[in-house]
Amino acid sequence: MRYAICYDGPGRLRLRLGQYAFSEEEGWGIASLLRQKAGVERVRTCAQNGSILIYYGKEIAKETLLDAVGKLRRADIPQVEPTGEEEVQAIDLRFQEKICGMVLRRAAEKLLLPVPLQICKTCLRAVPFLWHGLHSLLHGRINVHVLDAAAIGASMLKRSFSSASSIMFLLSFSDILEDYTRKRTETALSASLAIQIDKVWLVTPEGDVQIPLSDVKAGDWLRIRTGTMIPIDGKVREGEAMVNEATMTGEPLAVRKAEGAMVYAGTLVEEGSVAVEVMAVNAQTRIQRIMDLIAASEELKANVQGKAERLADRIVPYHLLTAAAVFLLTRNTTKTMAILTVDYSCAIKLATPIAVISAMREAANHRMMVKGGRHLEAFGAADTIIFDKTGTLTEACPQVSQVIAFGDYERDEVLRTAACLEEHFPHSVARAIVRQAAEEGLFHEERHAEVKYVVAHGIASELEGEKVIIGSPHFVFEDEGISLKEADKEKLDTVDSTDSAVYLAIGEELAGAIFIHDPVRQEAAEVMEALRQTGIQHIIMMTGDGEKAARNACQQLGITEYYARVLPEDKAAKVEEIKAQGRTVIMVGDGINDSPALSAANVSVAMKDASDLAREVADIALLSGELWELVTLRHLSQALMGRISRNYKAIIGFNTSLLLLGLAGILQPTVSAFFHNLSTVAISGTSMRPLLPKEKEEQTA
Amino acid sequence: MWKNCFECDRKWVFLGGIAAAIVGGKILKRKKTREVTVNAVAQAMKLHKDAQTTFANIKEEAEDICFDAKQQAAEACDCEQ
Repeated sequence: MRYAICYDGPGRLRLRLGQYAFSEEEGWGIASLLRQKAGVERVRTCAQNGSILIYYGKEIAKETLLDAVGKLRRADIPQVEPTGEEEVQAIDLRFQEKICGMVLRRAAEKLLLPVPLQICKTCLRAVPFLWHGLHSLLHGRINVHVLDAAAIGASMLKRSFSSASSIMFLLSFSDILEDYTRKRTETALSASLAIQIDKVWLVTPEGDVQIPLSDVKAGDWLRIRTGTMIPIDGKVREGEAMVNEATMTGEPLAVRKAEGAMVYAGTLVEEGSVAVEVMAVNAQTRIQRIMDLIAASEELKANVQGKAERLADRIVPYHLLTAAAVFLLTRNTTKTMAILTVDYSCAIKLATPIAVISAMREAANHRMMVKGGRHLEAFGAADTIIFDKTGTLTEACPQVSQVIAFGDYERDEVLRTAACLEEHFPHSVARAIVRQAAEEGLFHEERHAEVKYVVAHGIASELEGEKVIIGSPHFVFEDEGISLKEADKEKLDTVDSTDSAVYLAIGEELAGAIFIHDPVRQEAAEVMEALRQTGIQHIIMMTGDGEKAARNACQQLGITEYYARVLPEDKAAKVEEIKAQGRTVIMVGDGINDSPALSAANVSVAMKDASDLAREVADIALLSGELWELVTLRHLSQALMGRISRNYKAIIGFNTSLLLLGLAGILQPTVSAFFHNLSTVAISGTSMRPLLPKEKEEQTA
Repeated sequence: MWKNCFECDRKWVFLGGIAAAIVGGKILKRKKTREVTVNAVAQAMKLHKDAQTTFANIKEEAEDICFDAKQQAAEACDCEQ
């Protein structure tokens, strides 16, 4: 392809290939080809003038880029889906074209079209508006369509075709703006979610690397672990897993998938870990599912939003009655029309969802996925927050602090056996044990039978004909009935540690205890204080760990309320109990075992590194691993509620003023309609602005 | 009746309308007219496309100037520090 260099600065190059050089779709393909080159940071194409803008780093020479563009042939351009940025760009372009076309057409009609033809055109244009109004009336609905039809009909009866035409022009203009604002906000949210949230583990010779799902190509190998949803259709190439295909087949029992088996997008790995070769990618699937859920579900709408919409609809009949009363009392059609051209529902129905979606997009840019407006509302209004301890309030990377062997067992043997069992599960404690064994050079062969994972309790298997279990004290001593001998108890008593312990039993005998040091996060105490300042009255910690470990963590964090040795099934009951006291509860957790409690809370948050199950269940998923994000989210949700409330006041205040001015005969109907639509768009426009102050964004970025 | 009709003031308008319809119909059916119309529409489309291209060029050139200005401001800020 031939090109001219239009801009050549350090790290930024703009080439122009001319009109008709490529279509919009081909532009997406060219951008995708160039982005695949190492060192290319960003590419933007414009089909209208055939330009390609490339941002690149020091890893790639300008000549290489020029060479690549020069050698491009139309046949080589792949067909790809647009990126989020490209989609937003396309929406912007369509909007500009529509608005320019509309304004030019109107100017041309006014200047060139003879008056009788203008009248004919106005009558024809009025038909759909009048039909919508009549249709609503026939179906017993008195809504904004009736108001519009009444205003247009009254103007035409008054033979004021110019006014009718202006009202219709403004209504169409406002429709285009509404459509554009909604589409753009939703696309921007979807793009943010796709880039920031939807990530997968790519298998590479250097190890597993996390990449956005949108970058996955057919033929790539992805690592999918326990509790993770399979994001693509593909073939298992390594490992074994139990996959729940209920979303596809309705079969509730998990199916075993080994090398060569096909797995499908949307199914869940219940146990095991597999490397899957990608056969078909539909990057949109997961995000689209969330987007559809957000857009379609009435339940997920913020309560305040639903209430406002119902109120807006209920106002319309009274509005119409007021217009009728004005006409009967004054016999003045201009004043009546001035009332009909102004209404509250447009602005309320448009500004509120835009404010909510924009807040959700802002959250996504901070790497937080919020699955509905009502969750943001509940998060802002909550007075109680419950934290799970391990992985939430503590570092995500715990370490083995001590290993104690009991009876005839050796310390190394205990650690080796524990690592051998734990290596099958991607839990943070399991990883700590496996890492410690590897650091000490304790390598192990797979001598045990199939491993069974008992959620939140431990692991059971068989080793050389003997039952072997590893897990929490509750699992080992109470569920499995292993007894603690007096000598072992004395040995344990000598250990002065606030760390939590994992016990290993072989046969019916206790073999050892492994102490896990799980320090609280550095920022946790400050975060607790900041949360209190945002209006949280009760901060509670809930953990399966022993009393000593729980008390120690709480003392460090300044938390006064905690529940230790809570079993997973009891966590949900505790949440219900707290809710029954009339409190609005946020539950923050990360593991599969937290899922019931997450479901029970008014609003739930899954931390980074949470299992996919916890992320599926949770209303909000954090991806950055920073506890400060909870404070950011609290500020964001409270600012959103403030904005919605301010919007109502502005909408009601401004439109009431327009009504009164129209009633007083100061404003003509077309002027009222103009200001009404302008205010709707202005309020919606301001609702798209970021809610958090800039320095906060930079802090968290 | 017809006599009266032709005597009225609007008779010429009526006749003019009929004549315009006949002549207009003939003109519209001519090959040349079709060619001229197609060319005119094509020209309008080309003009539309040219306007879009010119607008895109202007926008991009303005973007480039703004980018340079930002870079220079950032560099000046770094120097001061």
